[in-house]
Amino acid sequence: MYFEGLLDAIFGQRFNPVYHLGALCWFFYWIVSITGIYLFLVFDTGVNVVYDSIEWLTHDQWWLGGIARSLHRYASDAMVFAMLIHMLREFALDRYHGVRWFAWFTGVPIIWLLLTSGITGYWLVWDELAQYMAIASFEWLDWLSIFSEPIANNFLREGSLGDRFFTLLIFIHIFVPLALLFVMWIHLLRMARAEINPPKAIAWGAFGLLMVLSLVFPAVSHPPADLSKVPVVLNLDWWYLFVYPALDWMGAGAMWATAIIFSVVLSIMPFIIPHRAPTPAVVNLDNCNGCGRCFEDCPFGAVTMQPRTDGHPSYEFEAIVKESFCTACGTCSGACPSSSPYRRGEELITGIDLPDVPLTAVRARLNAEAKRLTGDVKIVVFGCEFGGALKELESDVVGTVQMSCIAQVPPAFIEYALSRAGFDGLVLSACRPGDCYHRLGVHWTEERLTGYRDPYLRPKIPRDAIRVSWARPTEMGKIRRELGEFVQDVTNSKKKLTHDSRVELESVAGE
Amino acid sequence: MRSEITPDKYFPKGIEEKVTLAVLIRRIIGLSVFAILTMFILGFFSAAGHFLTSETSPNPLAYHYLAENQAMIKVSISHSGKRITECKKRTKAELKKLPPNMRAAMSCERERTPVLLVMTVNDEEVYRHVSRPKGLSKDGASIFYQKLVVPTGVHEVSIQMRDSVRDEGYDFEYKEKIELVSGRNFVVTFDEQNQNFKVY
Repeated sequence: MYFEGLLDAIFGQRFNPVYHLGALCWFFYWIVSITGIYLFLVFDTGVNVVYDSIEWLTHDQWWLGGIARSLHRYASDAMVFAMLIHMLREFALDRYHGVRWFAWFTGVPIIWLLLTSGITGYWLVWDELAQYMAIASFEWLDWLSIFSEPIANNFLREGSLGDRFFTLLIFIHIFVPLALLFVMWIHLLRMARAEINPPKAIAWGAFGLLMVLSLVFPAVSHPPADLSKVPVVLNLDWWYLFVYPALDWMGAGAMWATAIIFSVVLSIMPFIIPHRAPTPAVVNLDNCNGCGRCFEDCPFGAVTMQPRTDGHPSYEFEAIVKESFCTACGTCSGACPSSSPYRRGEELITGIDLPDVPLTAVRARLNAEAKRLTGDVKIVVFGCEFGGALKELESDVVGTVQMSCIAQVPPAFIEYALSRAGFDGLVLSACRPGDCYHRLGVHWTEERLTGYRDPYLRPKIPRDAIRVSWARPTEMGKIRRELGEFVQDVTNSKKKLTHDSRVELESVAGE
Repeated sequence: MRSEITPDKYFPKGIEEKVTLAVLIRRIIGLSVFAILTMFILGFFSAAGHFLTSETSPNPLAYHYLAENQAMIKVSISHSGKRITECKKRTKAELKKLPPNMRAAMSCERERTPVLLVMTVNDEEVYRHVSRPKGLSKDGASIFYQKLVVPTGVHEVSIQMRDSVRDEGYDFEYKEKIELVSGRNFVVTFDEQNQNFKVY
């Protein structure tokens, strides 16, 4: 987290590459695909001529083929790098549990498919490294004794490797990345509006980086394969080929056992490591008009719309929550037009709500905090479960209200806080943009505040009475500083709302 | 709604980052360091082996599959052992009982005997393995695939194979003095057509 804070300072919150690692993997995949198509077009597939065709590409046509080859290689390496950090990060931030098991579980085959894609690519150069790897790979497969003859026999001596078998290797190198693409698609199936394109600035930066690397250290081959010899010294691409020294060291059987145990343990981690399972959102049909805003905003596709079951004469649809998809972020509740704190009644019942953090409790807390504060100004901080520690911010001028996710705050609550509840200012504090624990909470909140997303905060609500402070739990100093500045602003510039202006706001709210 | 909104008027503080000159300079320096560091990490583990190699200094990232003074002997044999029981000639009465399309003169059990392969280098036994026949009926070939790393130089290699039902002795033998240079891949196979060992 501290390292990410450093990157925030370098890139700015919105262009921090670690918040876009999944999208960067997709971006690298496309670079590899496009360069791969070019390489395939000019690549000679005969086993005796393939090496020369790659040497020609690398040296004679360095300005296109050579760069394409280097980009193909470095983008593949970058994909492993990005995937590794992505996986460790999702684990460290506890984003693999509960209903989010699916993305983690489907990520495990991605590891193997990505490694296999890279490894099979190295075979095709048919140099000493390819020879070593191909033989070691097939010996590893032969250990299973499922083939009538060892496949490694195809590499026994000069002449034993035919063009037909080599064509099969090329087919594998095309098929496995396609399978990888398919699983990457499955990986995102439970993500609504999954980000598969990084911000342009990050994409161009990453591409430039790979380009510089390709020009300074172009990818080159080992000497051509010679089956009468055994390669002695190999310059491995350690991003992919670390498995081979491990295979030589532990042997095929132990390597199979390691791979299987690693995959199984990784796959079942979401199920065996205990965690708190929040109660999914619940639809209250009497208050649901079937508008579909919750369906639009749900970051995990947990809300679907179906034809009305209560025979309501005016409304055509109703929202349904798929419990196995719901992370209980409350974004749906924040989007619901029924989530208005101005509604009469002791209990605020909205169309869709979280049983663990119901909006009626939020309103009650808001009013209680307004009563508690005794300072010259009254500020309320709406925060999420995964941002800074709100309790630490409380004082006689600052009250706090914790939500499941910041997107659970309906814009009507902001109006309510600044008008009826009597606060002079309001701070929204949650995860970093692009790094929301519930994926889209910060994004949706910003769009609601700036009028780009329905339900939006009405333009008449004074924006200088609102402050956002996106920060992670380790950045309490930043939150305190920004909150302090805001309290000072509200006090010094006399933006504290007078009774009259509050009455004016009341009238705005009543419109 | 979008047309009504102008950032100056309606964006709450904190949504848009203000980049001062000091921040800009800090970012340019930070980005340069980040770019160099990332390229270094990517390139170092990917291709540094090629670029660090020189005649005077060993490459720290290179993987030494074999030492300079080593060679390899690879045995790859696929050979069917003899049947565990002798074939028996069917009598006329036995043949008559069989459907016309199955009246083979000889009756043979399908199962074959496991094959034993022993290899010695300079009179030292380096490999001994019994390979069972493949197949559910144990009627397939016995497979051997073994790699042995040996020092370079002259070696006397001897290979014996037993594929019949007996406890002692061998059915096939090969013995030869060979000279192995660094990185040599010496391959031993069995030629089924000529029923003898073949080396490459």
